[in-house]
Amino acid sequence: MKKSIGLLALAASLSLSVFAVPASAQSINVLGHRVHQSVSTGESAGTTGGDVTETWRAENGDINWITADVTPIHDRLFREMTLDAGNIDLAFFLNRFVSPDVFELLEPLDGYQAESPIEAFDGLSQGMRDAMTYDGKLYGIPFRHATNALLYNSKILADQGIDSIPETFAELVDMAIAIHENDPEVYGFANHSGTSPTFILNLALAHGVQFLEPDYTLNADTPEFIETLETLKRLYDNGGLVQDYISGTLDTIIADMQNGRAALSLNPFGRVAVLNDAELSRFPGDIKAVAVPADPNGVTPAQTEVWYMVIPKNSTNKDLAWSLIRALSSPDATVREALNGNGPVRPAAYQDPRIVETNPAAEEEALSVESAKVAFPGFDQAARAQEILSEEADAMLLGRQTAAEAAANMQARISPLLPTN
Amino acid sequence: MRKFIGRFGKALAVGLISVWSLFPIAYVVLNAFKQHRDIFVFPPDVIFTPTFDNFISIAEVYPQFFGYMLNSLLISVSATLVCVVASALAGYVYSRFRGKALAASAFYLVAIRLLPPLVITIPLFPWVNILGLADTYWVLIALYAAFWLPLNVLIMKEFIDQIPRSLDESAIIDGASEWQLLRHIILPLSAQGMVACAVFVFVFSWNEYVYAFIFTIQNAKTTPLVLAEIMDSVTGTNYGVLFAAATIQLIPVVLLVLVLQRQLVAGLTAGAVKG
Repeated sequence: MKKSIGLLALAASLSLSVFAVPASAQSINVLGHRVHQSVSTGESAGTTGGDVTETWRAENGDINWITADVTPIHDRLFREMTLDAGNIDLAFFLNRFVSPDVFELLEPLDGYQAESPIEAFDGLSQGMRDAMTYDGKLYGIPFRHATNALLYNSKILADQGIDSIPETFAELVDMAIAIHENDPEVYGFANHSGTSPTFILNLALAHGVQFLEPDYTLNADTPEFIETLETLKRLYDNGGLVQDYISGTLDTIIADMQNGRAALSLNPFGRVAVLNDAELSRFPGDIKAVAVPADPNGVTPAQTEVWYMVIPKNSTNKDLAWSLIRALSSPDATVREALNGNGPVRPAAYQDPRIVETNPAAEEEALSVESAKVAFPGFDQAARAQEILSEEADAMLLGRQTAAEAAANMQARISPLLPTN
Repeated sequence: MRKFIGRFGKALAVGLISVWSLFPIAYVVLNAFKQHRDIFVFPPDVIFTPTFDNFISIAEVYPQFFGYMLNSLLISVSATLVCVVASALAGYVYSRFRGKALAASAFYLVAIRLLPPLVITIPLFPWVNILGLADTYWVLIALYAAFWLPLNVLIMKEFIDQIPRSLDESAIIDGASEWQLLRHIILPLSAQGMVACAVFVFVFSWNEYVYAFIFTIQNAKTTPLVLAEIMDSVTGTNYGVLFAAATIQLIPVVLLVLVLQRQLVAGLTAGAVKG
C-alpha cells in the first residue's frame, strides 16, 4: 500500500513539474545555426566583437535562439511555414535551399526597408541581395557568407621544400599530386563528395565553367566540365585527393587537415580558425588561407554560400523581427560580427581597421568575395540534382564510366529537374 | 575433450559478442577523456593522460545541455509511468476477458504498430499545433507512451496469462473486488513484466530523436537534439565534446539497467520455456 502511494506521489509530483512550463515575457523566436548565435552574441572564447544584440535586447526583449544543424533548420522552417501561425519569427536561411515555392512562404521585405530602412543598405553585397530577389521583391537580407579559399598546411609544404603557392589552378593540381609523391602518408586535397559536392563545383569554376548558371543553363556536357572530371580523376588516382573522398564528410576533412593527413583543402576562409585551434589541431597556427589560384582566364574561381535573414509569412512578430534584422545588419554590427568569426556581407568591412588588424587573410578574402559565385542556384529539385552530380562523378572515380560518360549522364538526368522558365 | 571444446566455444562466442557490443561504448567513453586533437591519431594512443576539458566545454558551449537532460528525464519517466500503467491494465483485460470488440481492438493494436512512425508524425504536426501542444512535454509523453503501448500490452498479457486463474477465483471467493484482485494478486505477480516494459519505454524515450525534433522547439527540447546539434556541418564536429555529452547521456540508462538487471532478465526470459 505504501509503495503504491509512493508511486502515485512520485507520478503526481513529476506531472506537476512536467507541465509547469514557464511562459516567456516579450521575446522573439529566432531559428538558426549555433554559429549565428555565437557571432551575434560574441559568446565564443577569443572573439572581440562583443554582444551585438545587447542594445536591441535592452530595448525590445529577449531573443529565444532555436539552434540546430543546417538541414534540420530548414526542415523545421519549411514545416513551421505551412502552419497558419508559425512559431518562428526570424530565420537564418541558406541560399542553396531557395526555390520559387519557398519565396511564396516568406515575407517580402521591401515594404519594411522603405518604412524603416537598414543603415547603409547599399553597402550590403549587391550580388548577395540579388540572389534573394524574386519577381522584383527582396525576401532575405544577407548575414553571413562562406567563401571558399585555398587552405594549406604551411609546415608540411615547408618540410617538402615547397615555399610558395602556385599562381594558377593547373599548377595547384600538379602540386597536390607532388605532395603525395613526396610523402605517401600525406595526401593533396582533403575534400569530399557528398550531397553538396562543393569541391567539384569549385573545380569546375577553376576550369572556367559554372556547372549550373543562375539562369539554369546546365554545362555538364561542355568540354570544360569533362576536363574538370578528368582532373578530379587524376587527383584521385594519384593521391592528389584523399582516398575517402567518396565516403568522407566535413568532419573527416577537418580531421585530415588537423592531423596532417592532407596538406590542402578548398574550404571557406572561416574554417581556418578551427584548423588552427591548439586544442583541436596538431598543427596550430600552421594552416593558412589564400584566394584560390586563378582559372585559365585569370579569375579567382571562388565559390560562396550565403546565409540570409528571412521572416516567415506566418510569423506573428514581423515588426520585431525586422527590427532585429536592422540591428544585425548595420555597418558596425557587420564588423563586430566579423570580429566574432562571421563572414562579413559588406565588402567595405574588409577595409575596417579592426578587421585588417585581426584577420591576416582579409585582403585575400575581400578579393575572393568580389569574384565569388554561388555555384549552385536554388530550385525545387536542387538537392536531387546535386546528388546526381555526386553519384555520376563517384561512379567515374570508381572506374565504372569515363569522364565523358559521367558528364553525359549528368546532363541527361539533371536537365529534366531544372525550372523550365 | 568435446566438453572442453564446447566450453571454449561458448566462452569465445560470449567474448566476441561482448567485444562487439562494448567496443563502441568503450570507444566513446574513453575518447570523452581525450583532447579532440588526440582522438583521430593513427595509431591510436591507448595510454593517455585523461582530461575533463570536454566535460567543461559542454557546460561552456552548451549551457542548456543539463536543462535539456532534465527535460529528457521528466519526459522519459512520465512516459514510462503512463505506458506501464496503461499496459498492465490493458494486458489484464486482454488476458482475462473475451469478446468481439476486444478481439478487434487487439488486431488494431498490432496493425497500428506496423505503420512507420513518420507516416503518423507528419499529419500529427498541424494538429499538435492547433491543440497548442507543440513544444510541450505533453506531446512527447503521449507519443512515447503510445508508441510502446501495443507491444507492452502484448507483453503484459503474456505475463498475466501465466498467472493461474485459480488464484483469481480464490480471491473472488474470499470476497476480493476486481480492483483488489488486480492490485493484490495480478500486478505484484506480473511485476517483472512491468519492469521489462518500463525499461523498453524509458530507453526509447531517453534516446528518441525524430519525434523530439519535429514536435519541440525549445521548452521541451531533449538531449538527443543537442547531441545532433554538436554534430555540426558548418564549423565541424568537436568529437571530444560530442563523446563527453554522449557519455553523460549514457549514465542514467546504464544505472537504470544495472539497478533493474535481475528483474529485467527474469522478465525477458519468463515465458520463454513453457511447462
